[in-house]
Amino acid sequence: MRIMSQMWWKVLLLVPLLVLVTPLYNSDEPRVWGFPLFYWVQFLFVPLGVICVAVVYLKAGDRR
Amino acid sequence: MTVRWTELIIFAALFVLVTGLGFYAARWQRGGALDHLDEWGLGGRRFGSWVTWFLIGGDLYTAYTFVAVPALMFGAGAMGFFALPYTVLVYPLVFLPLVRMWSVSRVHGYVTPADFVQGRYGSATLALLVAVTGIVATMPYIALQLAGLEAVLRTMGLNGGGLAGHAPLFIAFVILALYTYQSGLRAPALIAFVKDALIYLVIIAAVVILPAKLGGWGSIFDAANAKFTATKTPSDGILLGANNRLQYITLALGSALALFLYPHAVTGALASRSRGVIKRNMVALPAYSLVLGLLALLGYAAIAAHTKPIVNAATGRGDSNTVIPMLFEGQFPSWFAGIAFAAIGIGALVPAAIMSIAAANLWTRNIYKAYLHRDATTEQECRQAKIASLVVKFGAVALIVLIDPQYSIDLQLIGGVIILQTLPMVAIALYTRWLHTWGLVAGWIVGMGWGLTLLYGIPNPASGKQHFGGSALALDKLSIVGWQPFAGSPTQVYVGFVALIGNLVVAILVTIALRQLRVSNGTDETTAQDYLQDEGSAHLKPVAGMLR
Repeated sequence: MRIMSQMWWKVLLLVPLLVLVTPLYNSDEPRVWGFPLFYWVQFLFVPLGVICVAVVYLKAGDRR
Repeated sequence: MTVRWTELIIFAALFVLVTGLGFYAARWQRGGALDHLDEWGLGGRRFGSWVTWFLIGGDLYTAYTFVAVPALMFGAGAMGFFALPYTVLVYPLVFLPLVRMWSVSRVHGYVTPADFVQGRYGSATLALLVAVTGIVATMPYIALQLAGLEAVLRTMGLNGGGLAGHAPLFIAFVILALYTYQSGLRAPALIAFVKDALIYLVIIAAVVILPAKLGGWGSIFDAANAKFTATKTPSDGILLGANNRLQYITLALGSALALFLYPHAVTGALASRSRGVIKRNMVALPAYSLVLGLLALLGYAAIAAHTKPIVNAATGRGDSNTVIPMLFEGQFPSWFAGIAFAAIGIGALVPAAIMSIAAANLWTRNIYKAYLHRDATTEQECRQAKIASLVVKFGAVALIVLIDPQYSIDLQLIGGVIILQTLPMVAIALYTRWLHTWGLVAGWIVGMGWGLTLLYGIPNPASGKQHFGGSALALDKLSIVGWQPFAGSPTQVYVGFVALIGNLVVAILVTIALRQLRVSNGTDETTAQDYLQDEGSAHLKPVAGMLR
């Protein structure tokens, strides 16, 4: 049971791969602070990646 | 061109400071004698979270990324921003494999990725392939760091022609070579603190002050957009076009997969004390990615500020690497430009040192000890590695002197394609040795041959070269032994990615055939438990030279 739940947390590591789906954000508008969508979305992926890796670090145990 | 004295003096002062640190490093956190590879080549294998963060950060976010990525944004637009998704992807991807690599290396005392392959497959041939690939891919990477350093030196007015024009670079490199020889991995680890302090200072100042001077980020993006719209080239722009969308994705993913296959990245990870140190760093390292993304955008700031790159007196052509140095020169007071130049320059020394150490470790462990001097003592191994680190550095200097810096970036792209071909042997082998030794060899040959053939066929209209003009391949030109499945398509793709797929397909097919024929697949000296051991485990091999 524990092993299973540890495995499921690791699926989070695949979430940042969404950054590869460029059609989602390949656009100028809407801008934030002058940054086109294309740029600020990719910047947001940095903290998103950090959260995913951090959750796996905390939840998935250290043995595997 | 006149010498810019203020900048040069500040640059020289900071350079002298890090040189002192470089020599002092030999005594920092010292465990045993420095004449063991664990000590010289891996810093005693006991760096904690902070040191590792600075070391790997200094290792991965190099001078090249500081000058070439913004230069690419300056020239081509959105395509250059691939560096951000690339560094977003790398940490989640390597989080699990890297700690396995750490554990198995600590249990068996591996120093290089090729050591691991040797132990996992019991095949000296396979280990040799990994070692040679690693060294060949690393050399142009070191040369690129020099290109970054030289761009700064030339911007400060040390822009001489001919061979003498390279003298300042040569002097800087002799000094670097000497303290690396003396202190090993501890030198770049210690200098990385100074490098990062300077880089963060410069970047924060730049992203606050430059938009204010240039009318805000909105107008910076508008200026870039206006420039790209005015050019005839269809592939540039502040958004991705139809042709470079696939190239953007495959280059980001391919570069992320390649990063921790580079020997210097593995060296940084193996030097850490525990699995926890690596895991915490995978969480903390993206702080650099934010900096990298902001830096990349300085390429657009340079467009808005009408920055002109300087003409390299050695080649007689515009040197796009000088765009960022010239932006600082034009927008900031001299003393601050001096600090920025020092940040870039020292940012070149740290990775160059780590890379040469990693290449030297490969040479010593997997070629010298495996083939030339099987019963070498640990002292002989260490002396060999120190000498090899000198040879590697001067090889890189020769590359810079002999070729146009523009060409060195293409060489680096080729290096990425090459190193990616070791993914099945190193990364997949961390999980399974289902792939057969000879299947891996066959896959490597095909991936390498195909990748290089495709690269050879890529022209670069901008620099007028017929071959090896970059790593973006039009699908139209993609040929599988003469068959062109996508003839007529202008969509571009990253060559390394294509070659890796070819490599994997061949490795799998040959493996299936050899398994049917029941050909022996060597012996594995590692066990499933070896990949899970952590600091304090009784199974870890003691680090040689430890005093306690």
